[in-house]
This record gives sequence, structure tokens and C-alpha cells, in this order.
Amino acid sequence: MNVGRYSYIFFLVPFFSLFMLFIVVPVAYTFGLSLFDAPPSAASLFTNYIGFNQYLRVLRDGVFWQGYENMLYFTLLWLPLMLILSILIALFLDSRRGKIGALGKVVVFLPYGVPTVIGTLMWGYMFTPGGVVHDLLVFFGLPSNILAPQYILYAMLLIIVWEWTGYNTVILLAGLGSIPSPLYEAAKIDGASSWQVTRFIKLPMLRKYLVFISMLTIIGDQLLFNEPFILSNLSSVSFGFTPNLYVYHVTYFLEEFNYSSAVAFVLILVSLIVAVIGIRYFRSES
Amino acid sequence: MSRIFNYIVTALVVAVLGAYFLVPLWWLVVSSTKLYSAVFSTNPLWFDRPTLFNYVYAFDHSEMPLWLVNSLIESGSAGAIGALFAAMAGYSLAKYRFKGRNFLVIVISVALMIPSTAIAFPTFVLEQRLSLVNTYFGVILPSAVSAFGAYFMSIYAQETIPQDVLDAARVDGASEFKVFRSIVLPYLKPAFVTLFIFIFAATWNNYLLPLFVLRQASLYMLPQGLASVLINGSTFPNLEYAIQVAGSAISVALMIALFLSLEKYIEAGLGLGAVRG
Repeated sequence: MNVGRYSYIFFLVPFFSLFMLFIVVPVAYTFGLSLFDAPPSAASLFTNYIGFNQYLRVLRDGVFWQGYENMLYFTLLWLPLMLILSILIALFLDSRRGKIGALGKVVVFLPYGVPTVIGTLMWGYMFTPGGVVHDLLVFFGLPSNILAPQYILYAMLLIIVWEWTGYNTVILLAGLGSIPSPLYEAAKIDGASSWQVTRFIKLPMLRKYLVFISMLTIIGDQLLFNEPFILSNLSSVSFGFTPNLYVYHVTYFLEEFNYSSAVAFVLILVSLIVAVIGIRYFRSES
Repeated sequence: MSRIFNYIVTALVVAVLGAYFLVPLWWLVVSSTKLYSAVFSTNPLWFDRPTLFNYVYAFDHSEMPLWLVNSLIESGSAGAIGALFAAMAGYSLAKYRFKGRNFLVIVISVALMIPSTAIAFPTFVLEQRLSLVNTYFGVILPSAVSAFGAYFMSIYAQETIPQDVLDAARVDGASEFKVFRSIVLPYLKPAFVTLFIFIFAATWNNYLLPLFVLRQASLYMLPQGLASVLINGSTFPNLEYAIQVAGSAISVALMIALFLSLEKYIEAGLGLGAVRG
């Protein structure tokens, strides 16, 4: 047989060249920059080696911690809300296959097709006096200035739940679809109620998917950028509102490239740690 | 009695959630037919003297059509290049045995978790060196690298391509390239389409990378351009508004059309994506 012995290399090269260039090199570059503290006038950013001192500065940086605190609070609010909503919707749509199920799936998935920047702009208009959401809040006697600094987190909550619930619902639906039908038949023969089927068959089967979704959500939260960045034009969102917004601010406006690299590298590390915990969980399951 | 009660509660919940998901999109459709002066003073969810002014203005007097074309070219190229490269790498990882294979798989799975937003700045610095700033390729190339894609393809190739079909073709004297083109690619087609959609959508939605890399208004991608209108804030809110609603409506309509036409692939992809790990 004429198996070209080295042809596998030919197939690997295109992908891994781009991979090296646009993932490995930037990550290494970020780490490298974080070890220096170049004065503004220096010709190269790699002058004045200071070891891990930038990281000490990150640890002492109140704005950075405030960003993480905001996001922690935000995650505690929206992760349970989004999980409950997507579980309920997935169970509902799964029990109604056929036309209603298909239509419902499309409806919940539609917001995912809206770029987050555009979605945030749309919601921004609806939050303004005279907009739908504003008028609804007034109607229910709730505080209507949802773009005020003390409520901006809830404005983001409304937008982000809207964007992501459908996407996660479709993942859960795929999980429900993969449950082998003999399991249902056995439950039926045993006379299980539909609540029991949900509680003892469907929910346990979904656990793996729920961990996966939660992992992505937690990683995604510290990286939130588009929504707060756009909202900051309509409201007074602080530049350290999310950790990723802070990286942008330090890079773009303060032009402290060495320091922003250290902050960015911390974000990468946190993502990897969350991912490792998640993957460990998967391994122990299977 | 309790059945009726259940029914009413279910209907109510479905109605509220349905409204939550659909009203913003409906609002966009309605608002894109209103002048700015009417947006906040008329019923926000119903038409009022509908006009096409916003669309006409956005197409004739703004750079919005350019942004749309830029977005289409960049997302389409990133999707096609990304899916092709991932298919090649995934096939290679799944169907050849070679030293270092496991190492590459581990490298890819670690890279899955590296957030692209955290490396936007170094990517920009690198692109300055490579003269990629303010070019299409400056967005296309970083967007085309999908660690998830390579991973996804290798799993898909492992599960779907029978080894004996590959061997039979080789016995018949087919070159490795021919085997890939006429056997592997057809088997990988569903995964290819899924990945194309994901990379296309991710590029279309990306904001941070273009913000760093594209610095001339004529080169902006659509979301970036629409946001810049807001940030620069002209003194004529009417015209600013016109560009934003018309551009948003077109962007959303295009993406929804894409999703609907390729829905079954998306679902399969999400399902497989979720069980990785």
C-alpha cells in the first residue's frame, strides 16, 4: 500500500501555523510583556525586567478586584436564573415534539443570532424613557431608571439572559434527545409519573450538560466586554466594571501595556483553572 | 379543575417568555420604519406612519453598506478557511498514527479554554509587525483559528470515516490528496457546515478584535460601525438612529436567515460540542 508516510504533516501544517501565530505566540507574548515595566519613553516594551512584580500590583489593585466582585455577584444572579429557565424551556419543548416544539426552539434561539453589540444597542433604546422596558417598569411601579449606576447590573442581566438562554436550551435539548428510549419504556412499565421521569431520568442525564454550560458561563462572565462597553455610552459604567473591560481600559487609554498584559494573563489563568476543574469533573463521570 | 389551572399557568409562562424573546426583535422591525422623532412618542410596538427613510438614508449617506460587505467577506472567508483547515487537521489527528499525536490533541484541548478576548491586544501588536492592521486578513486569520473546530473534526472523523474505505482507495492508487478530497471531505460535510456556521457567526459578532485591528471607518465590520455611530454621537440623532436601526435590522435578518436554513446542522453541532471533554 502506498500510504504517503509523511502526508499527515501536510494536513496539519495549515491549521497549526495559524494556531502558533494567533494563539501560542500572543499568549507567550502576553506573559513575556507582563514580566517587564518599560518606561513610557522606552523604545521597546521589553525593557526593565521586574519579574513577577506586575502580578503583585494586580493583587493589590482595587479596581481589578472590584471588577471580579461585580462579576461574581453577577454570576450568582444570572447563572441560576439562566439554568432554571433553560431547563424549564428544554423540558417543555422536549415534551412537545412536532410543530410546537420546533417553533419554540426557533423562537428561543433567535436572540443568539443577534450580535451582542446590536442586541445591547436595541435594549439600550428600550431602556430609555418612552421605550418598551422603561414603560413596563413604570407600569409595574418599579424603579424605571434602569440605566442608573445602581441598577446597571440588572439591565445587563436582562440583556444577557435574553442572549444566552436559547443557546443553552438547545444544548440541553440535544442532551434530552440523547436519552435512550428503552429507559422511558422501562419507567412507563413501572408506572412512573411524568414528574418521576423528569426527576429520576431526565435531570440526572442533563447533569453533564449543566456542568458544561456553567463552566462556559463562568469563564465567559469575567470576559464580558461588549455589553458593558456599549452600555457605558448610555450610562456611567465604570471602566473596571468587568475584568475584561479593565484590560481594555489599561491598554487603550492608560497605555500601560506591561501592566495590562499581567491583568490579561491572570484572566487566561483563571479561565484555565475553571476549565481544568470542569474537565476533571467530566473525567470522573465517565 | 387542577388541569385547567395547570393549563392556564403554562399558557401564561409561555406567553411571558415568548414575549421576552420576541419583543426586542419585533421592536426592531417596527422601529426601523419610524423616524427618530417618533420612536419615543408613539406606541413602541406598533407602526406609526411607516417610512423607509432609515434604510434609504443608511444606504445612500453612510458607510453602512461598506460595513455590511466587509462583515460578509470577513466572516465568510474566516468560516471557509477555518472549517477547511480544521477538517484537514482533524482528519490527520483521527486517521494517521504518528509520534506526537497525543501531544497535539492535548495542546488543542488546553487552547480550547484560552479566551480570544484576553489575547486581542497581543494579536494587534503581532499584526502591526506583520502589516495586517487595517486589512481583511487581520480579522480573517485570527478568526479562522478554531481549536474547538479541530477538536470537533477529529472526533467527527473518528466516528464517521470507515478505515477500510480509505484503505481501498489507497490500494486503487489514489493519492493522499485525492483520498482527502473525494472521500474524507464528503464524509465530513455535516461537520464542515456546522463549523462554518459557528466561525461565521463568531466572526460576525466579534467586536473586540476589529476594534483593535480595523482603524478606518471604511474598513469597519457591521457591529463595530453601528457602535461607532453611537460613540461618536453626531448632532443629528435622527440620522445616527437611522443608520443604527437599518443596519441592525439587516444584520439580524441575515443571521436569522442563515440559522433557519441550516438549523439541523446547528443542533447536531451543539449536541456534539457539549459532550466533548
